[in-house]
Amino acid sequence: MNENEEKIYDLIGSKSFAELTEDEKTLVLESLGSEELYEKMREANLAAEEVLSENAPPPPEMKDAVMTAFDEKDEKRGIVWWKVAAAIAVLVVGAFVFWPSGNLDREPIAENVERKDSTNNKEQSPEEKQETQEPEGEAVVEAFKGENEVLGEEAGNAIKASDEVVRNTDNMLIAENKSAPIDEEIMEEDHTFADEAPESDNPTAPEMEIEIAEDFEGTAEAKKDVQTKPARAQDLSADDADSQTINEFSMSNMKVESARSTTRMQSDFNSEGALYEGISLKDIGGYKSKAYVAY
Amino acid sequence: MDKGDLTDEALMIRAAKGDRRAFEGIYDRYAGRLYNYFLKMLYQDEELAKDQTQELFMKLVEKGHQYDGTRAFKTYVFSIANNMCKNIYRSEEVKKRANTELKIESELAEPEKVESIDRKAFKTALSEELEKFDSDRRSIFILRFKHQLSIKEISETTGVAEGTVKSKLFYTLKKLSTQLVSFNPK
Repeated sequence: MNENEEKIYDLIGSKSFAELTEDEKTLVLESLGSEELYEKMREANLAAEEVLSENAPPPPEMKDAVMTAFDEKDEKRGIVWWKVAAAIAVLVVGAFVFWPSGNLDREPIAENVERKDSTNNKEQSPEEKQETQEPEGEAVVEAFKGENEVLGEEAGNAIKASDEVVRNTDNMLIAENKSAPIDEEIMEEDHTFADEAPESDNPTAPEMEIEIAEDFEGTAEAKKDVQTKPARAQDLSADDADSQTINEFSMSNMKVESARSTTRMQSDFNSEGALYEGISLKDIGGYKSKAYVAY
Repeated sequence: MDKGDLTDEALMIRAAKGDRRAFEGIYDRYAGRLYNYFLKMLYQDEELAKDQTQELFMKLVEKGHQYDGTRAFKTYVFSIANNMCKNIYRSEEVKKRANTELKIESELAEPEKVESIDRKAFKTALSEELEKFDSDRRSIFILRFKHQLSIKEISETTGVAEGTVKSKLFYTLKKLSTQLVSFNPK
C-alpha cells in the first residue's frame, strides 16, 4: 500500500486543491498527475455519498414477520424456563419425600416392635413393650432354628424316609382299617400336643413320643381310655394290655407323625416344584400315589 | 431510561434477554440500513434484499445471546451482512441473474446517459460501475459512502486492513472520476 495514496484519500475528503499546502499539492500532482483529476475525485466522493445516502424504506410486512419470530422465540424461552423450574421443584420434593427412607440411622425394627406390641399390649409402656418383645423374638428365632433342624434331618434322611414313608403309610392304612377309633383319638391328642408345641422347646418326634408315653402312663384317665379300646386289647392281661397299648400308641403316633411329615414334604415339594433342601422329588422316586402305596 | 437513549449495544443485550421493545428498537434503527445495504450489494434485487434482511434479523433472534457487547453492534451486524453477501456471490445462479439484470439496466440507462448530464445519470453510471467491482471493493465503497462507516469500522466489518481499505477507496474514486469525468453530479 502506497502511503501517498492513503494521504491523498484523506485530503480528498477534507480539502479542496486550493486549500492544500505546497507539500500536499506536490504530493497530489506527483500521484494523480493533474489538479483536475483531484477535483473530479472530490466531486465523485461527495456525489457518491449523496447518491448512496438515499435509502429505500424496508418492506413494512418484514417487521411483522421478524417480531413474530421474536415472540415465538421468547415463548419457547419461557417454556424452557418453566420446564426447568418444574423439574427442579419435582427433584426437591422427591428428595424431601424419599430421603428419610434411605437414612440408615433409623431403627425400623424397634419401631416395628413397638407397633406390633401396641396392638397386643396397649397398657404397657414403650420400655416394657421393647423388653417383652425381645425375648419373644428370640424364642421365635430359636423355634425357627429348631424347625429348620428338624426339616434338615428330615431332608437328610429323605431317601431312607421315602421307603419308610411308603411302609408307614401302608401301616397307617392298615391301622386305620384295624383300629380307627384309637387312631382318631391319638390324632386328637397329637393335635393337642402339636398346638402346645410352640410353647415347649420344640421337641422332636422321638422326644414327643417319650413325653406322650410318660403322660399316658401316669394318667389314669388315659388308661381308662385305652381299656375301652377294641377287643384285641381286652384279651391281654391288665399290665400286658397297658404296655401293649402304650407300645401301639407309640407306634401309631410315630406313624402319624411320619405320615404328617410325608404329607408336609409332599406339599412342599409340590408347591415349590423342584428342590427341597437340595433334594428333588426325582431323587426319592417321585410322588407315590395312594394306589401305588396300597399296591 | 427510554429505549431511544440506550446505545445499540445495550439494546441488543436487552433484546437477547427477551426484551421485546429493545429488539423492536434495534429493528427500527437497522432494518432500513441493512435493507439498503443488501439492495446495493445484491444488484438492486428488492426481493433478495428483503429476504436477506429478514434472515439477518432471524439470526439475531436465534443467536442474539452470542453477542457479548464488547464489539460495536454496527460493525457486528454489518459483518454478518457482508458474510451473507459473500455467500450469495458464490452462487453461480445469482451471478448469472445479476449479469442479466445488469445488461437490462445498462440498456435502459443508455439513452438517459447520452441525453442529459444530471444527477440521475450520474447515479445510474455510478451503480453500473459499482456492479463491476469485486465484492470487497463494493462492500467497502457502500459502507463508506452509504453508511458512513469510518475506515476503522470498515476494517473491522470486512476484516480488511485499514490501509488496504483506504487504498481501495482511493482507486475506486479515481476510476469513477476517470469514467464519469463527463458527468457533473452537481
